[in-house]
Amino acid sequence: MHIQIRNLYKSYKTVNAVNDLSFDIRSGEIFAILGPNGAGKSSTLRMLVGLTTVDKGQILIDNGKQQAKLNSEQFGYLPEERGLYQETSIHKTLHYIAALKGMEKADAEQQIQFWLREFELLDRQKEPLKALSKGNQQKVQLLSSIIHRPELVILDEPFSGLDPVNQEKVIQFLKTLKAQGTTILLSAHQMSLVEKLADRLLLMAQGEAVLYGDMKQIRAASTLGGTLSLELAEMVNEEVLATVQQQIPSVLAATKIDALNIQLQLSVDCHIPTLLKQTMALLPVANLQLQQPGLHEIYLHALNNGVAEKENQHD
Amino acid sequence: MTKIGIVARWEFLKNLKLKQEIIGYLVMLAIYGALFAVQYWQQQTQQQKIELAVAGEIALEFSDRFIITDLPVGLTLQEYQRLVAEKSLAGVLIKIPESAQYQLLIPNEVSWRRTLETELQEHERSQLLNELAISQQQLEQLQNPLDIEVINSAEQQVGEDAKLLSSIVAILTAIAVFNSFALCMTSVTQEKQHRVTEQLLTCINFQQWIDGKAIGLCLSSVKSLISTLIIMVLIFSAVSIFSPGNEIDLHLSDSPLFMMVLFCILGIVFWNYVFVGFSATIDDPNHSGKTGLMLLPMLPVMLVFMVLDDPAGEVATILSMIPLTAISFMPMRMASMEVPIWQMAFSFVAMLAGIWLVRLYASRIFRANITLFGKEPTWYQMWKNMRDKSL
Repeated sequence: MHIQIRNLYKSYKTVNAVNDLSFDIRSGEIFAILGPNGAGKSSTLRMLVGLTTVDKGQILIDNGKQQAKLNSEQFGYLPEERGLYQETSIHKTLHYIAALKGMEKADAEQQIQFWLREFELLDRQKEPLKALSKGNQQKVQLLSSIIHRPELVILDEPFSGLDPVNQEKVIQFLKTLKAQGTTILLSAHQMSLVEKLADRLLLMAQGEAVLYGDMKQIRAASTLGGTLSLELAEMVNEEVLATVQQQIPSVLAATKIDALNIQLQLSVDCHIPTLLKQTMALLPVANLQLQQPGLHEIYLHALNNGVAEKENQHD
Repeated sequence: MTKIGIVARWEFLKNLKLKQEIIGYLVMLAIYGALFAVQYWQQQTQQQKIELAVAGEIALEFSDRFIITDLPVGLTLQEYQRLVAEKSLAGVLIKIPESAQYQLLIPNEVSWRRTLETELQEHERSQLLNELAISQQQLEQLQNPLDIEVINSAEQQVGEDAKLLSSIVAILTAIAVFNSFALCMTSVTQEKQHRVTEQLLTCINFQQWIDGKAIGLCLSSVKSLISTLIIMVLIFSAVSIFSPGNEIDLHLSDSPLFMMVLFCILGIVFWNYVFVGFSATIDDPNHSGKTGLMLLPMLPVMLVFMVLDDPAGEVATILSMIPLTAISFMPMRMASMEVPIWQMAFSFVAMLAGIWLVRLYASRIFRANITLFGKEPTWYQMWKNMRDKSL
């Protein structure tokens, strides 16, 4: 299933939640929308599943061959506002959702048993939801969104409220779904988790796209370079650091961490072999570590640049 | 099964707690059983013979209930009290000489005192009439000065049994409607509070949801109506067994039972749509001012008791043809009299039209407010929702 979002707008009274947003979700990929609270992620997803109306713009499914609205059997949705029947058993609730999604009872039972086993909840299926821990309740909610084997799974903040162990389980679960050919669209603000998982990303701020593409494209689009951490064999003075910054063009800043450790901020177009050669010539290097910027740093850098650009435009 | 059917089945089964219900009914039966047992015991106790002492000349033939022992006159109260205690008597009736006054000396309050007083009153009245030399015929004329023969052209008269049936129908309908009210509170409002709404709305649309809910909750209400009716029938049967002579015949075979049930069910459907719509606007039932409006169905139930004696009157006739009140008034009239066909037909059509309208407006309110979390719409907003054709 290929979804194209074109020039989407949504506003609530005084807030522009989504502002001229365009992106594609390709069939079989894990696509993540990232951004802080209020960035417009949930509004985008809610428009996609039909929970809220689109003010302006288009949602095209399979190049417009299908209607703009997804059929309920085609997709599964994990809402940000979690909630299922607290007093009812997990087994009954999952059967109810499966029936509403058009599944036959026997097929639903097979799926329910399979996934409950995967999530280690098989022996608790007759218990009411309220008897489970928050993390396990979230697992049940997640199952309810995929129980009918949808082509597209839309997950709004699937990692929120989960401990690191359960976060890892959800990651494995999503990878399993992807391996089965399911297209996954998720929103999150835990960038380090998504970085490992998503094929392509959309970084949003204030309803607008900030960065978009796969990690390679995002890194290429970003003006933020990596960092080189150096452990020195002997102490150097401030003048040497200033020389490094002056004589090596790809070093934007040299910072002293402690007596024997310094960190070099590199430009995005830095040629690593040349850099290493120049650094070794100027400094007594005992050990070094090169770090590419993470999604978190790239996002913050892009946001700061965006704010600066807007301020310049205003000036 | 359609999605509406799936939702309806879910709502019905969610509220069907067989084990608890059976325990509840057994407790209810046990309570009624205990009441009848105590009543029966009391009746048996009242039939026991009373050993009563009489001091003074009383020309009265006491009923079989009393075993009379004569005591000498002129004793002091303390002496009479001692005799009562010594001879294990129930009490002493002392006639004050040359007057119509008596003194009844009893160790404590007794249930037979009223029986004794009635017998003495009757005796004194007869004595007075004898002294006035009035014939038996004159006495009867004095007691019943008018003799009115009632000739009612209607086939059925509003007898006590018909009134009882009407009351039962009104009570059963009220039980069903208030059951719906309670279920809506737990079903819609709780679902909203537990945030189940968004998950469901990606499986079904608003109309399927509200229709499924209304139907499921109607089924639950009809089930409670039927089970209450069964309990009532059991109680009436128990009355017939334990209290011969007090049998209650509801003349159910003479009544248009099917039509009565049909009107009840239509009324329940009508009010269920109202409840489901309004429940969607309530964010927290403990702090909402809108729950008061849910008591509106009390009105037809209360009103129907005011016109039980006059089922063919203008008030009952008109109110039985208005959807808001027809749920109570039409079955009441059917139980009491032969309702003209055109009135039944008019009421039926009006009820269907009412259901169509209330479904339309309730759906608009439901759709606009079921995903509104943390706040409630104002009355004006709800009015706007009802008029908003895009919803």
